[in-house]
Amino acid sequence: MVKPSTLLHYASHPNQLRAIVQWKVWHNPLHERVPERETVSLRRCFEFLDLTSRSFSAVIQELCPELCVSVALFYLILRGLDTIEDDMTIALAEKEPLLRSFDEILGQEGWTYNGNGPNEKDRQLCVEFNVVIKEFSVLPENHKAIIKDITKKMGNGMADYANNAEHNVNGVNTIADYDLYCHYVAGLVGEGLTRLFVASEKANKALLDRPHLSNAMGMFLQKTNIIRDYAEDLADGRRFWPKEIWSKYITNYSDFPKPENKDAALNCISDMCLNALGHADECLFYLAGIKEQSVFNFAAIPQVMAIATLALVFRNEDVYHKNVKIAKGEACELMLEVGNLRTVAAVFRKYLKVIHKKNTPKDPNFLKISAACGKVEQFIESIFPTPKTSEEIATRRQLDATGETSEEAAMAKKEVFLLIGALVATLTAISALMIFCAWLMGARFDIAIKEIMGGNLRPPAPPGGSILPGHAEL
Amino acid sequence: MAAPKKQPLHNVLVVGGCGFLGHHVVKLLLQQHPECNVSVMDLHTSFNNFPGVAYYPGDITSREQVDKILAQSRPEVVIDTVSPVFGLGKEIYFRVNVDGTRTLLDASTDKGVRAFVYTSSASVVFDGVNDMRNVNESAPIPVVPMDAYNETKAIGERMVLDANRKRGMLTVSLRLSGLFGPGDRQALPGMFQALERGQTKFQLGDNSNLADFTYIVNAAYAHILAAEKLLGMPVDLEKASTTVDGEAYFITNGEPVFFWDFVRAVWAAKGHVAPYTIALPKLLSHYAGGASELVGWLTGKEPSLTRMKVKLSTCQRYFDIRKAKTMLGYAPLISLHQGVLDGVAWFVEQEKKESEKKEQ
Repeated sequence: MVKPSTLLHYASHPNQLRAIVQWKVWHNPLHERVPERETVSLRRCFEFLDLTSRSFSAVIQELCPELCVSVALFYLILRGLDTIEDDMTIALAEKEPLLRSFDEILGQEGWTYNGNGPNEKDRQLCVEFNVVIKEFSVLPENHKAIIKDITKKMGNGMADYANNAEHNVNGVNTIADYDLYCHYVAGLVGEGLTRLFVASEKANKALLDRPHLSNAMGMFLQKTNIIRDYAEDLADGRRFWPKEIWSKYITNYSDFPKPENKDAALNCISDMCLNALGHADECLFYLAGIKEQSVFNFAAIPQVMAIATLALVFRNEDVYHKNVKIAKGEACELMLEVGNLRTVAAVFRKYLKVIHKKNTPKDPNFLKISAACGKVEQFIESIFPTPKTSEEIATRRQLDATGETSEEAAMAKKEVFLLIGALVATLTAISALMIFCAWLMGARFDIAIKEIMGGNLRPPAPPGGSILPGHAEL
Repeated sequence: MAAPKKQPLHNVLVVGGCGFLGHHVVKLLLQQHPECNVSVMDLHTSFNNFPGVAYYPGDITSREQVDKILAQSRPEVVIDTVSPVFGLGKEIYFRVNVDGTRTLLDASTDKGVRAFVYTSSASVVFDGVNDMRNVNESAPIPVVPMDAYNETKAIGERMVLDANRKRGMLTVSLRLSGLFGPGDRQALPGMFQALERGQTKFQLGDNSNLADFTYIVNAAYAHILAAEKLLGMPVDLEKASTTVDGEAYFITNGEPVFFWDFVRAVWAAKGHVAPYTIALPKLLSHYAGGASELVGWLTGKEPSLTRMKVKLSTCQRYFDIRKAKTMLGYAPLISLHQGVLDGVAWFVEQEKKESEKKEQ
């Protein structure tokens, strides 16, 4: 059933409705799985992927064949780890060794786990974890090593947090703790994916020398989600906003939703968004290192969703009351806009403008937020300088109008000429062949030409008097 | 690895050392280099004084006076921060920025000064028309200068850089952008004036233009870093892409912000936030500036709005300072946010002192 509010939204945003239709009707995946050729257990894995991830499943399944299965299994393995970590019904004595040895579990054929509480939403994945392990065992060795290494690091990180009583009661304390937590749950994923990309030669090797870039990719997504999920997490008794930030605005973390704290609440969101925004330019820098289109889409789509979400939650008091989400149409619009680094940068610019517009001098971080937007803007300018000479301006116009650079346009022109040339050559060859055949079969071109030169364009009358010689005999 | 040993400075002459920038250079020198004998030469030396500093009143356009002061202070480093304020006549700029710099430069070379640090302006590359987006040192000096101030600053800078390595003296030029802070006589006071006049609701342009401002302490710091780098260079080092001498550097806070955001942040630090904003489109603002100039010309008063002011508050004007970061090791000491708070607090404090004086 469509809600009236949704109808109203799309009535006022017809572009988003168009984007949904366009995405549903015209979207051609770059790569598609062929389920008929997959083993039963692999198909089951992809079913789990659909069940456990709303946002990532589609982009993972469109990845190039060298990476699709590895990334899908990487996701499921981390999801399994997360399902155990998340579950408060599992005793610490049981949980900790599981988390710490999860990388070894990946080598244990047939391993399953049914110790999750009945309400844990991804419980079934652990119950049937043997299918994941089975498929993991046939991955390329270098992929396996990368996934194992990240699983080990993340499992140990999670175990440290599970062990940390202070963290469990009071949540995240300092900004440094916050960064470390986000590194364990998201930055490491960025590291692992980058290593997989580089191992399959889909990304520039230099990304491995700049681990802060892949870390930033994870941090930006995670921090945005943490801001957005304030209400949901608090309802579950969890606090991820670092005390070092929120305690500047309020004494009691759960008091933000109260109407009398509105100003403090909005300023605190600003502070949190400012913290997240600090990673935005590094995310764009990272994306410049991706060499293959499906990998680029896979990496860029979550980032554009994140910047759109960040713009939506920035100084938005609804964050304290409900789960704020970008509209589906907006998401489709974003997916259509992702194509290359230039279009992604344009999307970032668009949403920075939204943030800049909502920024107010009443906010104690007003100037810092302006500077954070300026920093991203300056970075984009450094990779895509605004044209200065008239020649550059013409090139840019061409690019904006047709999506082609001038070299590409010149190339296209050349191709058209070649095409016409080929056509003319083919027609000439066929005509020549036909004339040759006619000559072989006795056609008298010499007479024909002579007659034509003589001005006689009619065919000669057949020999004999009457045209209907047999008529009289009938 | 141990931190690299800081280059000591023994004897520094700050020319213009009682001015806005100059006295901050003196103050920071005293803090960072307690070993240093600091001397100041300025036209008037009765204000912005610090204990332990030798003050020499003198005019840089007089070779005789300059020679005398150099002989007395015997500096190894000359920091030339001389800068006439905005809005003076062309002859003054030529006399001070060109003739004065020439005199100071020649006298310093003759006296065997080892390092010469010159204060230039980021606007030397501004033609007054085209946006400046992420501009770096490769940008040319425009053929038609924006105004006499920047024309003469560019000439002065060229002379300073050309004098590099002549008889062993090393030089650099620092191109500063949008200075503000305690003691400021232009940026912050101008914004306070608009606040007093109740003009805070108005905005020229759409505020999509980024601008670079520099907190004065950071600007002063860049001068000290440059002096340290020049003195620390081995005497026989050949000129290469890695040597810092003979070069110009853009110096800013490295935090470009939207122009009107900066202005509003200043007002907010003074406790004022406009209830709403009326944004005048760029073109309309331009004409308004022209009209205001005309009225000013007719009535003989200085107009509060000029086309140049409109241009400066609506154009993109930010710089790429990576050269200063890598070559000079420059990094701002104080963030823009903190700079605004500190700068405004200083003015509030001054006002309080003034009113207390009046009450007595």
